[in-house]
Parts: sequence; C-alpha cells; structure tokens
Amino acid sequence: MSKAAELAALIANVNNGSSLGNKNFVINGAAQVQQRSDLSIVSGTTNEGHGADRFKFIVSNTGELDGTFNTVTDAPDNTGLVKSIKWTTTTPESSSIAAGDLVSIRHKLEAQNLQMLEYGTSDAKYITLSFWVKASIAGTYGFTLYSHDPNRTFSAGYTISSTGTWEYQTITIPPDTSGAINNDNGEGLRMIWQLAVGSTYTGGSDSTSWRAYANNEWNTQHTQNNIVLTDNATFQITGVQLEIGEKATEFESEPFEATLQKCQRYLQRWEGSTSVSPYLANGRAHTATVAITAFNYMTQFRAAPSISFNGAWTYDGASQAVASVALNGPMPTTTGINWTVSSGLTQHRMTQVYLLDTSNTPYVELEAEL
Amino acid sequence: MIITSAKYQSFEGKNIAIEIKLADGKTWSTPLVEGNRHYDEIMKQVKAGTLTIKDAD
Repeated sequence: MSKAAELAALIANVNNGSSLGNKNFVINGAAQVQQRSDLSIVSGTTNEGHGADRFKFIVSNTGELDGTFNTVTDAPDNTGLVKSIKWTTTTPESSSIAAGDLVSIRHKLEAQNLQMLEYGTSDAKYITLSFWVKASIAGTYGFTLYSHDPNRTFSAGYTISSTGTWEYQTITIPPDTSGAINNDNGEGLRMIWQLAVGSTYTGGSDSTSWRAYANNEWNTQHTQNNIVLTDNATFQITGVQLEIGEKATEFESEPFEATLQKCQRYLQRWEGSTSVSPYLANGRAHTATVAITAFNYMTQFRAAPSISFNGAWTYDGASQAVASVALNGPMPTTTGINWTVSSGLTQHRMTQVYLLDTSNTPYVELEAEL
Repeated sequence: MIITSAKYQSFEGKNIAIEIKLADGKTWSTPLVEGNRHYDEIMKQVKAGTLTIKDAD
C-alpha cells in the first residue's frame, strides 16, 4: 500500500469510528508473547491448545494428524514484525479429509471489547482484517468470523499464490445489523483461519454477508486441505489486525509489556527453572496434609481461572512435594489455594510455597481463556 | 478438550472445585463458576452423558 493510500485509509477509518491507539481488536497479533510451552497436537490425545498467547490450534474428527504449533522468529521483511505463529504437520492424515474434519487456528475476542461495532443495530460498522501469511502449499484458504451470541457466521476466502513467501491479505467484513454482541466478558467474535474443512462444513451458497449458523455455511470458499495431508507442510501468520473501517491500515505495534498484560487477562504463568526455585505464596498449614495460601494475580482475570502446576513444594521448616491443588474461593481478582501434600506439615505453622523441579520446568499456570 | 476423569475437590465437607485430568496428561483444578471454559466443558459433557464427576475423597 502506498503512503498516500495508507493515509487515506487511516483517515477513512478514523472517521468511521477507529481511534489512533488501540485500533486493533486482536491481542498478540505480532506473536510477541508465548507464555506456555510449545504445543504438540496428537490426534486422539491433544486435540487443541495454545502456542502464542490468544491463538489456539484445534482439530476435530481427524484420525492421524499430528503436528506442532508454536512461535518462531520468522516474519516478513520491512514490516517491523519479527515473529510468527507456525503450524507444522509432522504426521499427515493418511487419506482424504473426512466429511466431519475441521482443522483451524482460532482467536477469540471478548464481547465487551467489541461494543463499538454496534452489531445488531442499523449503525453496525464495517471491520477489516489484515494479516501476513506464508505457507508451503498455495491455494485458496478459508477464513470464518463467528459471532457467538447471535450464532452467526461470515465466510470468506483468500488466495496464497506462492509457496514459502510472505503475502499480505486483507478481508473486509460487512456490518452485521442483525446479530447483537452481549456487553459481557464472554466470547464475542471468533476468528478462524481454516486449514481443513470437511464436506459437512462447506458447500453452502457463497455469500458476502452474515448468515445464521448452518454447518454447510461454516466456510464456503476453503478448497485447499493439503496442509494436513502433507508431511512437513507449514502454515504461518503474523501481523494480525482487525480494525474498524473498510480498509486495512498499518499494523499497530505496541510495547511488549502492553501485549503481555493484555494476554494475562486470560493466562498467567509463574515459572521457575531446573536451577532457580522462586517462592510464590505464603500461608499456613491447615492440617498435616493441606496448606492454604492466598494467591494474588499479576492482573485481573477475565473470569475465575483454573489452575495447573508442576514442581510445587511447601516449606514450613521442612519441604513437602505438592501432590494436588484446589482452588479455594476463586475470583477474577484473587483466590485462595489449597496445596495438598502426602504428610508432614505442622498444623498452624506458617508455610511458604515454592517451585522446584530439577528435570522439568516447574510452573503454576492459571487460565481464564475464552 | 479430551477429559479422561473428573472429581470434586472438597474442603471442610463442601465441594470447592473440580479436578480434571486431560488426555494430554495435564491436571486442572477448575472453579465451580460458569464462564470458566473448563467448567463449561465439564458441564457440557456431563449433560451429554459422556462424563461423570466423581465424589470428593
């Protein structure tokens, strides 16, 4: 896009309701933040998960597909982008795509952040998606925007012309004047980059408008399924931006800490190492097997989170390995945690919790993903 | 989400959370709160009859 065209698009978008800051509804569109470990998809065992924060890979109904989903240092030149989100097929599906198969990358947007779109009213606004994509297989790929509350979809396609080359894509999405998005902390819009679409979920009439959900309207334009049928096939995206307006503007960069804090509304991870054992929380031994601590978050969660851990220990003069944890009064702002050990705590003694695992990375993870 | 087991977690005689084990080997303690994606998925599978939540120990 020329500078003149870029300026014209920016002015048009500002006039249509976008602001100069925080114009991008997408969180972590530059793939700068990945708090979790890399994700391995294993059919029948792990059918979904996150790589880069906020971006999820999900497979449905596949038989053999395995692969990896993570963040890599590879991005289009002269854009300021340095990382991308990458899927690599390590075991392809052994035959053609079955009718019920779906494979995609997804990003969910919180409903209350989308109110300025005014969906469900006559003042609903156009929005434009822009992103960079690189794939090992050219062809026509589908993109679906799903509106959760009214259960409606918008289906689009885009063409990857050259393999192994970063290409810039834009998709302009018309206003949905019929489907309102609730003003709450639930799912608002779901962005879906399709990698495989079985016949159950395509074949509907091609459309450029929002429609009530129907299986065969899930994506009407996706035709290239070979990413999941080809060993070592790859698919990457970065510079993902969804903004108000009918034209794409330059990707909005932001400080790393700003992106991290936005991501931490959905996931917070405290991590040690095989040699460093940080203290996490203070509390007391309630019994010989349960220590209770308060636990304050880095920032407020979207909703009460779940918790998982590896390599946690209690210390009240002696160390005990934590066998399990239980949330005790979880809120979006704070929680209590019950840390259960096999034995050895001294009742009512002050107890600390720390992380230590000499062979695997110790962590405590709390998540309130959409 | 492939949940292989689910069990209530109790404290002083009251259920306070649900522990789930996933097929990927990860274990989560999940709040009894709608809007948490783990809890919502547990309830969806329970309603569908494909998952039973065991009583707490």
